Amino acid sequence: MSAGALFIAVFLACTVEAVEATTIVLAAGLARGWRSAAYGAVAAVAVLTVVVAALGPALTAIPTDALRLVIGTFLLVFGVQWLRKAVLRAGGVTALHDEEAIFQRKLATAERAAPQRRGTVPDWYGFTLAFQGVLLEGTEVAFIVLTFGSNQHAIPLASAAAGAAILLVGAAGFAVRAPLARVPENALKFLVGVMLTGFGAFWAAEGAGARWPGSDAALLVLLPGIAVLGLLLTAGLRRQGRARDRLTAAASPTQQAS
Amino acid sequence: MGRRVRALAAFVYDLVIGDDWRVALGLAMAVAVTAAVSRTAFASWWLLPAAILALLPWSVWRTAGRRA
Repeated sequence: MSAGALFIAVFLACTVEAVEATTIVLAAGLARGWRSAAYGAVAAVAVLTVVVAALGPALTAIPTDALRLVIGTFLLVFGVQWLRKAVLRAGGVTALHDEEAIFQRKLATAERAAPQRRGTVPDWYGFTLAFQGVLLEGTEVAFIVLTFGSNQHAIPLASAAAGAAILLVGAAGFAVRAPLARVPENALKFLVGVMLTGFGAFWAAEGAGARWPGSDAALLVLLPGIAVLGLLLTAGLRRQGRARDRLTAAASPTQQAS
Repeated sequence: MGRRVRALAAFVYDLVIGDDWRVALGLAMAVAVTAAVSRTAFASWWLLPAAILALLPWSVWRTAGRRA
């Protein structure tokens, strides 16, 4: 896997999570004040940085085959889960992730809570809301940085990709002071799901002792193959949904008449 | 303390395993079979793509069927 591919995979995955975290920090900032929200967000990023800094060197010390087997299996399971969610959302089976609706819900809840000062934090509710939001969404970022980075012995590069995504999305969110609803979050999630699944399968198989035909070039078939599978499933779900809608529409005049 | 450990365990489960544990189990079994077949003279690289090809559509259609 080239450094560029590693950077793109981690950057895209972290962009999805950063959009979700930014929505929560914006709600905390607008409802409770920017200082407390910023403290919470920075504290969570600091915790995640410590986790990556502590686990990164430990993971890279594990023999490559064992690391690829374990990390690849985790990535594969994690990636299929992302892809499955993205397909179900794109196919209309489950609702799309609506950043605007989530933002309005968080904002309404945050506005109702009573203010409480603790130490240098002007508003504890705003701090914990931002802290929890960034920490929860950021755990997936840390997981992706550690798995991709340790496998390629490039944790600094994976961390830089995650940092770039967080800075870019954070700056965009702060500039518009609104949830980044226009980011095609599900399309990104689909793309990242394909990448996580493909790289996970590739590394897990290598770690288990399999040898891919064409070595790394097998990824050029594996990744598009998984993407096509996901697209076919999405198309199938949409066609099924349209057929169900037609049946419902055809049945409703009959029901009205009776 | 017990509540926090349970909450952490639930979070990790949701993070890694997600909504369909059968898919996670199926993939883990496919990795184990790949490791076993790799010790023989037969090719084993195709097992994980085959597992994805079987498990992802199965899980998606199962969920879609339940929610229809």
